Amino acid sequence: MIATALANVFNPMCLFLIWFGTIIGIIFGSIPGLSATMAVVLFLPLTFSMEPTQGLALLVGLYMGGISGGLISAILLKIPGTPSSISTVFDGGPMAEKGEAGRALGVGILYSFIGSILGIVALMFIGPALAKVCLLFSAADYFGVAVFSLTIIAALSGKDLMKGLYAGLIGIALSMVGMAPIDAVVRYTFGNYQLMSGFDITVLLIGVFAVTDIIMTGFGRRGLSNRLQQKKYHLKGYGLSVVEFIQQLPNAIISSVIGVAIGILPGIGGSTAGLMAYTAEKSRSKYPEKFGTGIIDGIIASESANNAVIGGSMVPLLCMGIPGNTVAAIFLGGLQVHGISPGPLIYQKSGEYVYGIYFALIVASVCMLIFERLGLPVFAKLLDIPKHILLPIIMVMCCVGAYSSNSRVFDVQCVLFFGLLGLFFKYFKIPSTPLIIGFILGSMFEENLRQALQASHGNWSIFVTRPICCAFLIIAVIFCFFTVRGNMKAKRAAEAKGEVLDTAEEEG
Amino acid sequence: MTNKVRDLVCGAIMLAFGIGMFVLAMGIPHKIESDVGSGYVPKFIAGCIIVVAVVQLVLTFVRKSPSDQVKEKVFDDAAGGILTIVLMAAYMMIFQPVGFICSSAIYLFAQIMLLSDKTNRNPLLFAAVAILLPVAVDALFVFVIKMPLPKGIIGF
Amino acid sequence: MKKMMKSMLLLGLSAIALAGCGSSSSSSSGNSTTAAAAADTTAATAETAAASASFDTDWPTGTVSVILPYKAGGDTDTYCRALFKGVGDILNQTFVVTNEEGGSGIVAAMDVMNKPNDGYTLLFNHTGASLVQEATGTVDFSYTNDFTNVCTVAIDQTYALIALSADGQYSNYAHGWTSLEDMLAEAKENPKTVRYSTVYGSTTQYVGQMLEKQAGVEFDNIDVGTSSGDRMAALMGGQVDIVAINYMNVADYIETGDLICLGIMSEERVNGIDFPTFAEQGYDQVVTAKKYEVKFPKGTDEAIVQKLADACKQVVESEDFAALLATYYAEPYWRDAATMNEEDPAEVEDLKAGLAE
Repeated sequence: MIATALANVFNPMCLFLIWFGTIIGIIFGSIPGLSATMAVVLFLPLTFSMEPTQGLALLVGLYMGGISGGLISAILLKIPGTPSSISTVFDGGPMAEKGEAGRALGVGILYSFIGSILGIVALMFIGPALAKVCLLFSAADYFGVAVFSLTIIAALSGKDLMKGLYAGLIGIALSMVGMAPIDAVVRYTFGNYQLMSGFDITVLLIGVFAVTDIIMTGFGRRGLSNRLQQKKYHLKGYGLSVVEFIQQLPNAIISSVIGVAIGILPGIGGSTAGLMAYTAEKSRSKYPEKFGTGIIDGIIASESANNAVIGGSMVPLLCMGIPGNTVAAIFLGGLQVHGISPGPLIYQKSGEYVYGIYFALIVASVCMLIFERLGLPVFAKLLDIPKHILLPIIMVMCCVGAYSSNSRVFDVQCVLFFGLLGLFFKYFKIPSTPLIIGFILGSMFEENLRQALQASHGNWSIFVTRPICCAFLIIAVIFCFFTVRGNMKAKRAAEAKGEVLDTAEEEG
Repeated sequence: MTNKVRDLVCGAIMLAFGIGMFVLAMGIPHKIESDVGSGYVPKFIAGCIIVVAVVQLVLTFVRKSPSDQVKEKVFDDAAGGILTIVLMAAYMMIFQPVGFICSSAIYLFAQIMLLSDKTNRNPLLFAAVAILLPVAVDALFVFVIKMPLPKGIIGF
Repeated sequence: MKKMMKSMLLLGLSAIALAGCGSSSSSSSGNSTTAAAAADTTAATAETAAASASFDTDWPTGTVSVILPYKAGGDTDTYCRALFKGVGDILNQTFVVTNEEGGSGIVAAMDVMNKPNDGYTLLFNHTGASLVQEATGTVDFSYTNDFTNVCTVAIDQTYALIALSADGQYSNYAHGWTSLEDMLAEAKENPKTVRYSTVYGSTTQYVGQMLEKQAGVEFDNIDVGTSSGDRMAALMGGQVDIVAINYMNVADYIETGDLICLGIMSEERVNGIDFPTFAEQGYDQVVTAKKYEVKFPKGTDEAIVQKLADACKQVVESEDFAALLATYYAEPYWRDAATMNEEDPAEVEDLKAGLAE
């Protein structure tokens, strides 16, 4: 079985498809507005007529490349190319500004690879055992996870907690637009049927990050030409020494474990994994104040975690037929078309394809490592394109991306709406990352709260009696307490020194 | 606007938003008996926004911080920003009726001209970029991933 | 600025809607009668591709856009792509399938309604969602009256009631039932304790209520998610006791003996599924089927409808299509527009009656 799988994957056609998929994936991931999900969706129909292993190999390449490619625009443009790379912006952006774009990219690529491999290893060796973990989680427990994840907002709010809370709450509010979970009541649509399906995360992301950025450039267009990019790069290998590599090992491993865990639990996704690993690393670190100023720790946490999600999300998909995120859900279709039904019999019935997916994942991560490193000088050339030409091009790509996620011009118009919302945030110095977190977790928060209360017949004690939920809620409270206390101390210290109170965004 | 005034305005806007959201949530029907209803969480979130807004308003009001009197100039060129927004809005309005290629070419050219200044203005290059990019993107979508972008009245 | 944009958007939308109404009233006058007449002639003559040339239209001269309100890779997506690949080959034109999920498919349907009825936009969906939405009043339009029906191409009647097996690997949550009667007996003895995974306003809710009515029991109806993955996880994690789900999702679990099938909600036994139907077990109202339908915006030219129906029929009758459907335990199923115009509204009435408390 393994031999068949090896032969299937290591034939020229299949290797070509993985290579091709990875490159296309990286392009999709790196262009703001086009995401890994979209790459997989668009190429899925092509795989229907292919031999199963080859079709799946193409999808695997697209997924791997798409998730990893986001780091390129996150670092070079400070615009996350895909929701998963939001947290890569925090330290990647400042590093690029310091002239270390090459090093940031190199480190990001290397740890994308390491995260992917750790995820795949988890999938291959402890997958079937891990899969059952997701059965332990009921609605109440997912609610606990959602609440815990929302506490990242406190950590990312910088010194002005109130503003961070505003952003997070508005994010949750935005997630309520459209059809409600459970009873499908239509709310906050203001009579516009297009709003019934709610907002798309890609649309929100490119609106708040890319479009706002372009509008801000418009406001500051004078002297744009004088502020020529000074970001040069020089890079040997992947930009870090053996000593640094060893120092960062615990970071990479912890972040990957977070990524795998979040990948396994349905409905949370890579963006939260990156943010959570970033926050975890920051609170674990001996120098938390340096996070956000451009250190490799942040990039490593973010990139190892979001790539480890790939392996994690395959665990419940292959072993139980339960997709962990949107891409996995599309993969499920790709499997079923070829008569492969994920579940308890997949190893017996379609073992060669499962091993095929494993090998394809490994090959794809190696392709990604090589291609991104070789392509690095080309990516860095992006910075040589003058901003007055580059930004309008990004705007057009954003519109294409927004349009293609659902083939609706309405989504394109929403991009501008969110761009203006981002502008409002910028003006009032409200950080925008909590907005995205709130939006992603908002529906999870509501749906599971309501389901849990329905299952317990309205009894709120369910949130305390379910051990998993209770544990997450307690951790959330403790985490919040320490974060807020830390922030207050920093604020008081700054004021005591007579420094200007800085309410600016943490992520710059 | 000083920092303090700005924060007060921000609080006021959020308060209004929270109240508006709460009022709208009151009108959300409750359909299933065993469920808390679709208005429940919106009310809760709106309530949170109101509470945070009130707290922030009070804190800002009593706050005495050296940064309060600082006037910040965020936007040094209002015309450039507003024109950018207008251009984007126009682009999105004509995206469907005029078609992807034409609308994008017009937008690209106008936006690049707007962001450039005398030292780096090169209309010929700009026009080439503005035409070639949308054509290439359209070709990619139509022929490679078989997903047509809006064609518009002119037919391409 | 935003206000202006909004008002212009509204203006544009209403203009499109007006245009749609105008042309529909002009051409839909004798719609259903001619459809029936034409359908008869189609059945007689339309066996070959050459026959389609006899219809008085040069449609399609350009790419046709198929709006599909389901995610890429799902069963409906697969059927849709296979169907329109075949249709495209027959009519020598590209049919592009666009997935437009979200809003339970209502947004996609309304988008198609608002498109010009020139034959270049069509909707592919199934009655398991559309007619139920109509019956529950989730939508304020009719999937029959506000569209031009083209044809029905496939049927899936593999909805099955599933519980945990007492000797599988998830037996720690099992109730020890071996048949439908065991489960109903327990439900009768302890009302509102057997937990049924319901999805409000869907087929799942409908069949659950039909079973409650006919068997005289009451379940504890709780929502554990809408996707089949979520609901299966809830079943295996012991958060619900019974789940009504498409057989395909659980086939392997039944083979391993982890899950048991209490009954299939089809009218007759389905090929490849060796479990009794509810009707065989005395609950003849617990029946549901998903019929996959093709629809144009209202008022589309009769000749175009016929030409497409004719092409679809050829695909439906092909072996490849049947083989593809068989992987999902579904079957090719042909209904012309006239039959759909009669049967679908009747089904909506049945659903309304069934869903009423």
